[in-house]
Amino acid sequence: MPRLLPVADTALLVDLSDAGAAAGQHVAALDEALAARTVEGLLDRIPGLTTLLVEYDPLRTDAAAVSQVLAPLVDALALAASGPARRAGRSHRLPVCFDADLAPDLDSVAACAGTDAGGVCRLLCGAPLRVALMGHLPGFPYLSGVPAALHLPRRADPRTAVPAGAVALAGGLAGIYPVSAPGGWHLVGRTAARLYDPERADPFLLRPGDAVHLEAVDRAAFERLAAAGEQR
Amino acid sequence: MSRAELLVREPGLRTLVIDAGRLGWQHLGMPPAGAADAETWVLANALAAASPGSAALEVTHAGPTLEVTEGTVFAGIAGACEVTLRDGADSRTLAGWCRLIARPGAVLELGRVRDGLRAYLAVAGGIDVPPFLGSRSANLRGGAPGLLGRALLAGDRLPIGPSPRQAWVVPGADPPPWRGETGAVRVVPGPQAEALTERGSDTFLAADWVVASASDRGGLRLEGPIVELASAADIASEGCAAGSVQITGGGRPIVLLVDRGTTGGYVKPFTIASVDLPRLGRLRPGESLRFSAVSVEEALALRRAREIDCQAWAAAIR
Repeated sequence: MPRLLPVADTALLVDLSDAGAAAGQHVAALDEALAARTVEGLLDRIPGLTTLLVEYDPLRTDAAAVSQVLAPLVDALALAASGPARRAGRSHRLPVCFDADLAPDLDSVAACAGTDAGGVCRLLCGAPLRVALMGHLPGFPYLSGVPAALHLPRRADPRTAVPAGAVALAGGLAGIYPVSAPGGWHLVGRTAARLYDPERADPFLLRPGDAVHLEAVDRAAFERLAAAGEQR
Repeated sequence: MSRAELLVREPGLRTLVIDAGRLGWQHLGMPPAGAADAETWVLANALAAASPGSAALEVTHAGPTLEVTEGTVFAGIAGACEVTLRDGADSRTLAGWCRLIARPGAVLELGRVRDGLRAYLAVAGGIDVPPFLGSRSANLRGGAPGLLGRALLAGDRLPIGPSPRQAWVVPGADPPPWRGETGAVRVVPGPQAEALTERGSDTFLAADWVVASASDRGGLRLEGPIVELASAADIASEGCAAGSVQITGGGRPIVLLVDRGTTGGYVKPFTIASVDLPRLGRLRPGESLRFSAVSVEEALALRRAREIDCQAWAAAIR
């Protein structure tokens, strides 16, 4: 059974992990259903991989009142036998350069996967990736659809600064750093695409549910695309 | 109604434009940002007779020097931050928790914050920079347009929104009576309350913790004993509520504050009760704290009682 768990005097967590492989779709469907209503005191909704965090103003509502809104929506998810339909997202091709200096963990990842750098590159570029979740940093996508050979735990030793554009692997997912930040994922390439740009009309390139294809480009093309992104 | 402008002559150690924060975008990874000590920001707006929710300045350690270049500025300062107002040959110094009227050409010099890490300078009319994604709070994780992408720098110009002239009778206020509280910080069970062993939980609630120097608006890193985990510290990434207490794989607590990552993959066995969250925004590196467990219902009652106290404090200076 899904659980509605008070996790603060300002937030409730809906745990949908019981839905197994369909959990992500249930989270998205619940998020959409909740977005379609006006709920007194609701401040924000944060989808996780298998959970939805609902934040509220404790001066205007409380856990019981928010639960009362959530419970029927959660029940409706369980009733949909095949699970709610996945929202059709947009599709993106992101140029990625796999040169060694932009991909410091490519060789170690290749060794774990029993292939070489070119093999990792082909596996990643051939995979139909999907934005399962966004979070952590502005515009940061958690991408599902990573081939099983590339499922790795996080690095034992996190880096204090991962550069913007870094394409990274950990926990069976791929991620792309929109901005420089500390991070413990394996760095296997660098994209010239700008996933977060506060000066752009839409600062966020991706949305949950979007399809993503990585496209290998050589250094010259990478530098040209990165420079074009800077100027815009 | 008149408009005004402040010129930043000296920026202070880290002065940010803040408001209630950028809500509604956390699902795309935008941190909520906003005042690290939201309670004191609210009191500053009350002192300045600014509309609730108005953008103000968050001062860290030591404040900026600001010159009124246009209009008259009606300012309120919440926090024990020494402030000197120079107007021609006149100069007067106040100890904070005050309101000031600064005429064109006057200079406001904010000194050190003496009762914690942060103080707030609010102005009637509010700091009127263009909002980004619905908020006038600086975003230090990845930036934002204009003054909202960084801390203030010398030469910045702060537009101030229109406000009626104020005729203040009360020049300031005593700090709220609860301001110096030193008791345990209240926590409620978090989403992974079962992630600690009984010993780990006891350790967390019994220890004296020290705020590490690596702490920032994203999180307070706490130095103390290792907190024993019952299993791995990793979970499927999920949303992080304000005040979530993360325990890293090494058994180290990090209390997540306003510039937190919106999602995270570490267990969160406790959450700070919202009534005590502003206190964490006041703690300086090296200061110590303890925790005590309460229920969600108790936390809610404490928060609502505090709101009544805040409103009474604000009513007394009206």
